Amino acid sequence: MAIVQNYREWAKEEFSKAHCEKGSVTVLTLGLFLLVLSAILLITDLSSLAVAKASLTHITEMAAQRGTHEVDESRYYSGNSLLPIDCPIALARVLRELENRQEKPGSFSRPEILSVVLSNFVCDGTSLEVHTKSEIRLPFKLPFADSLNFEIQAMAVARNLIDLKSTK
Amino acid sequence: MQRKLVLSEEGSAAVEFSMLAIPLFIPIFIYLNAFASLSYTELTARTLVRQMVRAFAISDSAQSAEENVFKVLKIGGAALGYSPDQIGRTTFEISCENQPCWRRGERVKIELRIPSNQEPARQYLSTVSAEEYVSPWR
Repeated sequence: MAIVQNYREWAKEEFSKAHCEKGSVTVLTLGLFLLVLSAILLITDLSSLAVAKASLTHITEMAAQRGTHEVDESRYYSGNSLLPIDCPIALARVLRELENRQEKPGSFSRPEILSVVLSNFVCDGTSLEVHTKSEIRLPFKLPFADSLNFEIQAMAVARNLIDLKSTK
Repeated sequence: MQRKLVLSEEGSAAVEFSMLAIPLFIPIFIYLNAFASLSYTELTARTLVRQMVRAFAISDSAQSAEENVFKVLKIGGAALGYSPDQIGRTTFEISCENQPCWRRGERVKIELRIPSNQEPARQYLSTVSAEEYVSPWR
């Protein structure tokens, strides 16, 4: 019985404390402010990441499209139905395009993108697949990340759709 | 009575919270709104300019290339959520190393300037560009 009585007294005291407005909410407000600020830094980083990814995808698409312009003449004259791609020259073109992006970073390449590297190249003679990766620098350092730099990847597939049989 | 009112701390937490929260949080909400708007415009503008330059590069003639670019701006812009007024005030510039731009194998660049939807109307929210090669097999 005494235990119940003690508990009641303790609960009454605690409830009266809850209604008390003594003390300061500054700590609570500042804590909330820091939390919101951290969320904003994270959102800013994620947004930069999304824009950099879009930019890298465009660079990759452009390089892949450039690669498809190289025609394998020997196969072309042998009468293949689809416009054949000269894979070794296409690879050289793709590499040159990616190098050009680094030498002359235009306005369509984001400043966050530090480097663009060809990670994989697949060519079957009628289509090609270009995989790139890039190191990007985020505006703010994330608490769980070791460094400011992140790696993003992009892939583009291009194919010549011109059917030689239909154009002849 | 007056002394009691002065010494009373009732409602002080609410006042303290308002005094702290208004100057701290309102700039954050303004920043968030501006940043979200800018990021969205940047992403959509990049998509739009990529499609515009692609339309130019795969067109069959110089005349149809420009027409296709305008069509993509109008249809694509509306699909991406730009207002008709914003699309009307959007400007773009087609540039290349050799004229005319629509030449087989030519590298074409389109620079797109998206205007702000709010005042001042002449202010550009985002300027993006994209490059592509004109197809040599057209």
